[in-house]
Order: sequence, then structure tokens, then C-alpha cells
Amino acid sequence: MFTTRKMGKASAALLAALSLGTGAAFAQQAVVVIEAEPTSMDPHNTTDSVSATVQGPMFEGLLRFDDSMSIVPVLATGYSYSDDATAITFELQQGVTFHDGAYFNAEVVKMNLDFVRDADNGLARRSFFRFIEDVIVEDDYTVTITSESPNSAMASYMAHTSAAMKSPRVIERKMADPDFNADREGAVGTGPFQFVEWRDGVQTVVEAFDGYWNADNGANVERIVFRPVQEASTRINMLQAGEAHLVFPIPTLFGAQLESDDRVNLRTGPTTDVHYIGMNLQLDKYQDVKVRQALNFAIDKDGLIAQMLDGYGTIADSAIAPNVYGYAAQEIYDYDMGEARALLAEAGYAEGFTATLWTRNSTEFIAVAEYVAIQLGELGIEVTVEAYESGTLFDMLDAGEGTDLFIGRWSPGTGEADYGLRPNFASDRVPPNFNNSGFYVNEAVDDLLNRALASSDAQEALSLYAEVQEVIYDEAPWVFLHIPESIVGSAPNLDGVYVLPSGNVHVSGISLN
Amino acid sequence: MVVNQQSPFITFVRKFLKQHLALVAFAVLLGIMGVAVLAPWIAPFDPHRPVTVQYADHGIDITQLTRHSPVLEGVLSDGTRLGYSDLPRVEVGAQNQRVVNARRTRSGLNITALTAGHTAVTFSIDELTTAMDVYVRGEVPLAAIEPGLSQLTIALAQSDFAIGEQTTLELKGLRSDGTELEGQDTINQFGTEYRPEAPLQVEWRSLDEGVTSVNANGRVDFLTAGEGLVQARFGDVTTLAQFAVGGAEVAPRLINLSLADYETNLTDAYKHQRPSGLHWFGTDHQNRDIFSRVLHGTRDTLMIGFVSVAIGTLIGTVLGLLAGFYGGRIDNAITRVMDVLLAFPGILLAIAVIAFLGAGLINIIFAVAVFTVPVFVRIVRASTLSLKEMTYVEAARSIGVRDSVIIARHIFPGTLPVVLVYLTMRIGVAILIGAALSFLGLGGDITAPEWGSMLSAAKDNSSTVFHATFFPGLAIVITVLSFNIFGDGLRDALDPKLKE
Repeated sequence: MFTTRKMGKASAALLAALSLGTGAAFAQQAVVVIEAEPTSMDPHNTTDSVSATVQGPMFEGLLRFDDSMSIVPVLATGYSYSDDATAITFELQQGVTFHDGAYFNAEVVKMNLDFVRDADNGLARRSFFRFIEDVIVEDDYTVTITSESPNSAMASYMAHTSAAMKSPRVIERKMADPDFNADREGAVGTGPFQFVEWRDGVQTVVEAFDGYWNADNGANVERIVFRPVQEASTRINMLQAGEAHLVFPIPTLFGAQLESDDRVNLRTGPTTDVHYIGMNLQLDKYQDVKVRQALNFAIDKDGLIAQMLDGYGTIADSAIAPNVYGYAAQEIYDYDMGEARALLAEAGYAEGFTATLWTRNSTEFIAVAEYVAIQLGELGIEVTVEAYESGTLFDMLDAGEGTDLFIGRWSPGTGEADYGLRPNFASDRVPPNFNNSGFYVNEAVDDLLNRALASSDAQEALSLYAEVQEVIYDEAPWVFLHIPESIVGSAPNLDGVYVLPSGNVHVSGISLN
Repeated sequence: MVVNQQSPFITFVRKFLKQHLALVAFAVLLGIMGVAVLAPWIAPFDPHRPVTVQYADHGIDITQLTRHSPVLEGVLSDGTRLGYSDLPRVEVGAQNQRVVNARRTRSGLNITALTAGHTAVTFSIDELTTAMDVYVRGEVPLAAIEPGLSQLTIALAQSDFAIGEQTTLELKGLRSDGTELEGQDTINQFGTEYRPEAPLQVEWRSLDEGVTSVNANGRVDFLTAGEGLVQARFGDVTTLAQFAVGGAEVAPRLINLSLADYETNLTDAYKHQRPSGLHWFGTDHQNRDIFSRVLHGTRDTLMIGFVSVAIGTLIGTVLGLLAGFYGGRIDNAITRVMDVLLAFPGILLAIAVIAFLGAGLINIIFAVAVFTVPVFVRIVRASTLSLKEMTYVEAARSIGVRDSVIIARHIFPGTLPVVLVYLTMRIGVAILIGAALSFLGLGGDITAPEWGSMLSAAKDNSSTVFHATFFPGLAIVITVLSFNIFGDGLRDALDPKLKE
């Protein structure tokens, strides 16, 4: 007892001394706990949102999405489309330097985009930039991107996190030495923070960059430390114990209990992930639109959100989420078993049928699949749930053989309707190798999508997108389920962070009061 | 010399009856087997379907629990009331969208509970809004909440005024619990008490263009001829007053919205219901009755235990007898193969078999059988080796009895006591391994009521509640423990060296 008390006093004294000496510096380090290790420090070779979040403070692109998914200029000061929407011209910010001292100009933009598009470099984001036909340097600070066909979504593509600008010196080095590992050492951008270290499984550290060009949006903390912690309950405990300032993602199951916890500030925001059950329209049983609508009516979406998402979600009232540019709300298929039975009977399937539902084998997908199987069972449709590892499942869907029902999630990284609809519903995107795994073919949809993309008039494009969403929702090639909310936990004194609907967390502006 | 002529079976039974613990375990096992057979008849709910869809069969009205369809009426300035179908498009919104989902549907208005909590739900048509309080009960009792203001009404003695006239409007408020608030001052006082940190006050606004003007106390001046329109607002809730000024002709318009009920109690009955009289073990993440699932799971679990051990014992005993009796090359071949199998930890061997055969109940049984075989080969071979040297075996051999008869008649019965004891103990282990395999997701059908996969699903989806993991776990513990204690008692009773 005595010794304990003495120890307590001694350590208190030590703490006091520490905080006197380094208190200010300590307060300036923000600890961000993420669910997994980043896979790369090269934005052009990154497809996961964890890596994109870690790279965020170091890299900038010409444009970016703000918290409401609107496009705001960053390294560009402005942009304009040509009349036929086949070219987009950017005016660039002047006086920007990379962390290694290299200057940013139009040549650098061309160099970056040409490098990522070159198949020989084997970068994961090559296909993302497939829309680019050529990059033309007009002058030092003006650059034009052209595409083969009219494409009014080019600005959205250039606002994506993978359209970040790397230092020209990194690219030169990679070109000179193919063994140079840009994934580990290529983290040189123009952002407010510069790379310090990346230790596997331990942490990734970035620190404030003194020469940052944009004084208004500079770093508010000295360092940001990213720590990967796989177990959700451990992440939450770290936040409650004050070991972490920002923690994500948080499973919905913990949401309610954390909402009443003073030590934790919960931020929730809608995502752009639409969850759905796809069906193979090549099969006889799904040919009749009444069957597809019956399935939609037979799922109690409110129950699903209450049960699987603990209330953190909304019903998908279109094939794309409300935060996606071009979204138009449709009248939802409200849970109605009577209607579902009637439609199924009209289509000649009064007795129901059997089906196989493919799902990924992660918890949240299995639970939703199980829920859907139970509900369709009430309609007389006997569903067998088969869980596969996600890579295996994607291969099976891409092969396009033996597909029946499958549970899917789609979020357009570009935040606009074309990328949300075309890959899933255009008739030239059916398997093999494309994403229209349900073989939905409708010429009217193709036509509307093409006209919308070719339109340089924003209003016209919006009304075309609204029209195509109505057609798709009525034709019901999917069972439209839900759009989850993402939950981020932070310390009460943390500010300046926002969650992008795409799932990336924008931490550059992080500050601690 | 007096020879005890009691049959060995009677001796065994007498010895066993003295082991009270083993007797209890035996009784429990009989009970469990009874449950396995009778589960479909004694389980109160269907284990594959959510309880909510089964409540109708049990006489519980589920729609009242999670859904409410508010009845909205519009009031025109001439006093006519309009039903929902005659009203223009109503906007519905919940303040806390996590608690309920409120929306317009083709059939009417609908409020569906999502999670426990309280929220106000507002109904608006243009400039008119009325509100209701919705309470959703869940696991945690709700904190006491002051009923909010639901409706405002302006009492109008007359609506025709001349230009230059003046009138002060009488405002009446209605709280969701039915309490009436007379006059603007009372409502303002309520606004201060209701939310002291940001008090709400009545606001007045003229919506016409210059026909009327209204001050903060609800005093209206009539300025020019035409249709006068004044709005009172308190938070989200609004109402209107319509005037005909200077003899103008005005068409009746919608001035108020009213609801049949301003307060609704719903229940978060979607999942994880706690153990109660209705659901003894609570419900799981898909809202299925855990008690029924545990009962139904008994059959699969016992099947894994019995069938796999039976197969393993059969093969193991035959191989053990052959190896022990013939010795030499046969013995060598069998023993070496079994040594290889024994080198793997049991669960690893079982996982390897599943990886080879694929997931599924039958394959689990087979996997557990495979890892049961070597143990039996060993013990049967060992006792065969010693029995082979017995004089009666030698005697049988000397008079030319065939090998197969010697093995079947003279040696096999001698190994039975050891095999029986080991078999009982092994069933416990087999159930554990079977549960572990389905816990790891190798059981094939993830939705099946099997104890191991129930545990696994509860770990993933129900980590904040205790009952989802506790009861399936308890069922496994009781069953395995009973088999082990029973096996222990059996061994003691069968051991001839142990005195009575």
C-alpha cells in the first residue's frame, strides 16, 4: 500500500516534469488508428481507402472533393471544358514546390499522367486513367487533357485521390532505376505534410512540411502518426483510453454505446456505397420484371437497417447514393409481402423457386445475405447462401458462369453518376471481365448514359441521369438494399477532419485544441 | 472356497450405480438425446425464421411493435377536414433518423422503428408543420423525456376585417401527451423550460405581400385589401391564420394539420431480445429464438459426435485387432500409418481433411472420424497383444480354430471394456472438434442451427450482448462434460482391479 502510493507520487512528479518540458510538442502529435496497414505510398498504385487516407496529407491533385462531394480546386486554380466535352483545360497554381524541392508546373502534370498510363509501368491505377487520350502542355501553367469520346465526368476523375501529383524526381528515378521501390519510398508530394517513416505493422509517420505553398490550409499539428489496429474493439479502447485521437472504422454495433460516452466524439456520414442483390438476368426465372420487383418488395429494408446496421444507414432509393453527382431519388419498393406474392404469381412463380446467393465471407456481408435468404424464404424462394473469399467471388462473377443471386456493393470513386451506373448496367460491360455481372441489357439505358456523358450542358446531363435512374429502378435488375453510414470516432478535442462519402477520411486539416 | 457366481454384467451395473456423479451425467445425456429426437416438437419457435414473423402464430401483433401509420388530417380555413388522400404531398422527417424511419408510402404515412431512443417526427405541407413524439423502447430503458410541442392552433373568432383594423391572435399549443398550452406566454414559458440552453419562442410572420403585418405578440394590422396570411412558428411546428381583408373574396385554404395521435410507443424488437418468458435464451442477430436453435442444434451436434466416433471406432478396432493379432509386416504397416496421423494435432488433421473434401456436415463427420481412428488402433492393438498371450487363446489355437473366429470370439470381447470407455470419452472430444470446425466456418451451411456456428455468428454479430454466445456455449459445455464424466464412471465400473 505504502509503496504503491509512493510510486504514484513519483510517477505523478515525473509526468509533471515531462509535460512541462515537452507538453506543447506532445499535444501536437495526432494519433490516427486505422484498420489495416497501407499497401503503398504511391497514389498511382493504390486501390484501397486505407492507403489513400494515409497518403492524403502528403499528396494533392489538381482538384479534390470537399465534405459534400463538390469539386474544389487544389493545384489547379480553375478548369473549363471544351464545347464538345472532349477536352478539359486546367489553369495551374504557381509557386508550388514538392517536398524534395522540385517545382510543380504543367510538365509535371503531363509527366505524372503519362507515367501512370504507360502499361509498361504496371501501376494499379492505369485503367482508371484510360479515358485520357492525350495530355497537352499549353504553357508552363496551363494543361489540357483530351479524351476520344465526349466525357463530362473528367473533372470528377481528376478530383479522385489517385489523380495526385508525384514529384517529377521520383518518376525520373523510377525510370532510371526499375528496382527503385516507389511504393515504399515514393511518398513525395506537395501536401502540407511530408513523409517521415513507414514501419510495417507499427506505424506510418508524417510531419508538417515547412515549405507548404498554401499558408491558409497548412498543417495544424506537428506530426500525424497512423497506427494499424485490426481489431475494432481494440481501436475503440485506444480512443477511450486517450491513446488515439482519431479511430475508424467503428462497427455499428458499438455506435449506440459510444454515443453516450463523453470521451468519444462520434462523427457519422453517409457513404456512397450502394448495397444490392444482383441477379443473373440470363436465367429464365429473372426474365420477368415482375419477379425482380417481387424480390424488391419482399425485403424489409427498414428491418435490415435496424438489424444489420443498428440504424446507421438509409434505404437505397436509386442505383446510386444521394451523395453521388447526378443522383435522383425514386419511390422505394416499400416492404409489402402481399404485393410481392401477387407479382410472383402473375409471373407464374406462385410456388416460388430455388436460388443460390453468393456473398463475400466477411461478417457484414454474410449477415446481410442471411437476412435476405430468410426474407426470400417467406416468399417461397428457397435461397442457399454460399460464402466466398472476395477475390474468389470477383473472379467467379467476372467469369460470368453459374451466377444466380449475388450480393454486391458499388461506390463510384469519381463521385458521379456515370461511374456509378455504366459499369453495372451498360450492355457492353457484361462478363467476362466486366462488372455488369447480372447481364442487364437495355438499349434505352445505354443510349441515355452515352448522351449524358457526351453532354457539356450540366442541366441536360442531370435530367438524362435522372431518367436513366428511373428506368433502372423500375426495371429492378438489382434488389436495392441500403446505403450504410460510416462512423468515425475522435477525441473530443479533435477538429478539422471530415469523412468523404467514398470512405476516405480527409485528415490533412487535423487539429487538437 | 465359495465362488461368487454373480454375472459380470450385474457386477458392472452395481459398481456403476455407486458412481453418483456418473449417474447424473448419464441422466443428463439421456435427456439431451431425448431433446435431440423431440426438438421439432418441443421447440417453441422455428429456428430458421425470425421470431417477428412467427408472433402472429403466437397471438402477438408485431406490426404494433415496430410500425405505426399516423393518421394525418388537414384543416381548411372554413373548418372542413381533409383526409390524407385529399392532401397535397406531405414531407415527413425524423429528427433522429437512427431511431425511426419516417416516410410517405403508396398506402399512407409510415413510421418504422430502427433502434431504441426518442425522436420527434415532423409532417409538413408547404408552410404547415405538425410534430409527434416517437419513443422506441429497447434493451436500455429510456431516460424520461419531456413531451414536446406537437401542434399550434390559432383561435379565430372572425376572419373578415376592414383595412386599418387590428386584432390580436389567440394561440393555443398542444403537447404530445395531450396537455394544452393556452396563450403565447404559456407556450414561451414552456419553450424556456423545455430547452433551457436554447429556449424556443413563438415567432410570427406575415406570408402575404403587404396585406397584413404582425408583431412579436401576434397583433395583426390589416393594411390593404386582399388575402391575409399569418404564420405562427414554434421550433418546427407551424400554423396559419387566413383573413379576408377589405371585403376581398378568398378561397378556403389549408391552415392546420392534425394527427390522430401525437405520441407513439414502438419497440426495437429487431434483434438481440433479452432472455425473457417468451424467449428463454433471448434472440440472436437475425432475431431467431436462441432456445429453439439450441434445441434443434442438439441433433446435429450429437450426430457429429456419435456417427464420427462410431465410424472411427469401427475402423480403428478392426485395424487394431489385425495389427495386434498378426504382428509382423501388417502390424508395421498399420502402426506406421497411424503414427503419421497421430503426429498431427487433431484439429489440424480435421481441418486438412475439410480442406480436401470441402465444407459440410457430412465432411465434418468424416474429418472427425479420421482423427479418431489412430487412437483406437493403438489401444485395441495394445490389448490384443496381451490377450493374444492368454491361455484360452492358445488353447483355441491349438485345437485348430480359425483366426477369424479367435479374433471375433476370444479377443474382441476382451478389448470391449477399454473400447467402450474410450468411445464415451471420445464422443465429447468429437463434439468439441465438430463445434470448433463449424466455428471456423467449415460447417457448410452458415445459417444452420449448429452450436459451433451459432457461437461463431454470435462472436461476429453480437459481441455486445452476453446471451447470444453464452447459451450455445453452455450447451456445448454441458454435453461434453456429461460425456466425460459418464466415461469416467464407466471406466471405474469396468475396471476389475477396482474393488466394489
